[in-house]
Amino acid sequence: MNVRPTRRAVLVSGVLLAVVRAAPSRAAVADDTGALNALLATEHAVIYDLAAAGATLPQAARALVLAHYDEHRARRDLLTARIRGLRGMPVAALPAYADPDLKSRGSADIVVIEQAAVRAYHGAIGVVREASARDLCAAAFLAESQHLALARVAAGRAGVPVSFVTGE
Amino acid sequence: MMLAEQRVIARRTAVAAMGTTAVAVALAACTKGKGTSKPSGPATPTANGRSGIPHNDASAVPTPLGPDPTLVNSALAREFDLIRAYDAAAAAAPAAAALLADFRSHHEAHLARLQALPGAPPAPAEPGAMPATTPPATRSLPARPAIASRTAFAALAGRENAAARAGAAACTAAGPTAFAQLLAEIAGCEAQHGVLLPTFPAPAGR
Repeated sequence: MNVRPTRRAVLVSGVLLAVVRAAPSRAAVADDTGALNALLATEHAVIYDLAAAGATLPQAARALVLAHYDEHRARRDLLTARIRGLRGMPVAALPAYADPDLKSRGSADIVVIEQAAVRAYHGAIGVVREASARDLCAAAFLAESQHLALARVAAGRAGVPVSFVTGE
Repeated sequence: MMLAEQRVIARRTAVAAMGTTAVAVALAACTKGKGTSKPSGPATPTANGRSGIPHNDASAVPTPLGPDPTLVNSALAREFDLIRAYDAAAAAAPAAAALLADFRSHHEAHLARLQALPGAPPAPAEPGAMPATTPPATRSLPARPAIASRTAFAALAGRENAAARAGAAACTAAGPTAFAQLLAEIAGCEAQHGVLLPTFPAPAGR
């Protein structure tokens, strides 16, 4: 019996399987796109709220908020690009946001806003599958953790944070 | 031009390859559920029923998984390393010992959570005590000279930032799991230490 077809079949099937395994399933891509869009929606709200809350702060206290604001805008753009890369439709910003957790208390509101960002990225780390999107989420989580720590200090809270960032 | 026999072989190859691939794909599909968490559905800007910041964390409940022992051991090694660094810094700058103890306690909490994971090496005999020998995955570290008090906080901040970056990379490698979220929490705390330590006044030197 000629074994060449069998060998070829194994080779070809191996190549096909590698392609199938390397390419994420359509459902996985859809899930990642949904999770990244949820993050993008959070960033839209954070950017709006930081601008609104930052405007209530005295001039001297605005530098930190402005720096964080710029970072959130940059991350919004990264998320938008990543979603497009997955052939998804990036969610648009709403005209306005009214978060009932924000009480116009200046620096304290900044803490609330950064906490929301920290929790959003923490949640995404538990669901996003694609490697570069996971990198984005992990890096953003570190940055948001630092934003939160600095916002707490600016709000006059104790400098030493807690052992687990989302436990605040 | 293709001979008749070659055409038959080519057809056989294609059919056999399709059959083999179909089985392999079916197996891959069966195993795909393992090691991945149940994803949440796409969220909308108003997923929480209001127009404030969407609270996405509630929708993300990854399935608990047995973590990769290599990642667990690496994370443990980072915590042991940081605790040793804090001990050295406290010895070099006694005036800052109380503040440093607060930060050190976070690493003890991280250590406890990591050691509670399935497959993690057992905890040291005394709570908070350093093990007599380094844990399995810990590289052998040379004894460190006492860190000069003036640079103690800066040196610690550097170590914390390095540990945070390593933790973030491990978090990516761990996949969408509850373990990855734990690694992120730990790395986030270290990133906070890294950004806060340089903001504290320099401890009085010895």
